[in-house]
Amino acid sequence: MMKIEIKNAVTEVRDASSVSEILSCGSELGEPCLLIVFPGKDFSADEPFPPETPYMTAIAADEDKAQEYRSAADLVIPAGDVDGYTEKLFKDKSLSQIREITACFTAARNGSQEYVLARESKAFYRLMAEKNGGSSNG
Amino acid sequence: MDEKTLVLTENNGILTLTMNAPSNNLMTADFFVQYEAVMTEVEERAKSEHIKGMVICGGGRHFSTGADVEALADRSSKESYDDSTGTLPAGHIKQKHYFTFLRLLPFPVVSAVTGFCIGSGSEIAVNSHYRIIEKNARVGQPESTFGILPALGGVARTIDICGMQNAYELVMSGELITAERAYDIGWADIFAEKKQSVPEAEKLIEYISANEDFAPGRAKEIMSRYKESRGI
Repeated sequence: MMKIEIKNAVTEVRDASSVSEILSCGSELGEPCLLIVFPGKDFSADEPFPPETPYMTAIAADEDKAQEYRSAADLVIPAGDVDGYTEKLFKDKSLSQIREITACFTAARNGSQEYVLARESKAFYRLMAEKNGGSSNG
Repeated sequence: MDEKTLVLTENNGILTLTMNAPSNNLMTADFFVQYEAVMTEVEERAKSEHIKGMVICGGGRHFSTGADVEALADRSSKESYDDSTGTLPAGHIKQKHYFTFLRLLPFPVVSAVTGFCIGSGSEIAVNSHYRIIEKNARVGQPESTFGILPALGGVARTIDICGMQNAYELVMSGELITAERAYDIGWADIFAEKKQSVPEAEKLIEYISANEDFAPGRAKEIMSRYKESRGI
């Protein structure tokens, strides 16, 4: 049976059989910035996460399995050090900052470079307003 | 910064922008004023068909240590951005143009990366068509460690040159990486020994001028052929 663990910006999923099964959980996955799949022996990577997935997706895999999962998710991360990996990414960052940065990347799956260029600028001003004490810059 | 510290020269059809600003090319308000003036001149010169390419380099040990974050915060607090309309401040649009337009120039733009190449400095490099990195250089987008993100092309262009995973790690973690790592992940096109990045950049431009019909959309395939021709 699939297990879901929500940890701040990250949702971890274990013992799923497919991407469809994971996505069918809907709101049970929370609102992650990064969803990490720990593939069990029955997990099939034939079906990738769809490009409209509103968070970054990762598969935790040993190096010898990494290639197998490369096209199924945005990231393939070291199975032996998932906590270290996410700590390195998200250390000292607010949830809103992680969301803004992540949204630029999820937009890049389908969006043009011009779209992502505009997106990063808008995110910059929202984050700068937060940094400047919550003023709206305008 | 009263004196001109960003110097544009032309030699044998190759433009060279040498950055000699204080504090290892720290991008202060004065730096940006000079940068925009120089890039306006580049835009004009690009209309001339005899330009073969442009090299961007630091005049000292470092390419650039990036923007002065406190000055940036101060400036942005005075700018008007209305998130409900998404209309960006005119000053930002203008500033960003002078970074991102590098990719649209009809000749190859090559950043010769030495020492620290950080933040907005790195954004000059990633907006260039090519990056030649010297041993011992360090590159990165540390904006996220200051609560913001790179917004002069640092996200969009890094994804384009390094792929989703490498770009996400660089931008989200804000960590600096070594020249070797930058080359391994595709951030840099060519790895050069110390003091060799500018000669390598000129060699690349001369090759393209002699052998290729350059167009921005063909930059990657041209680099592949160049590397093949050099056995790199």
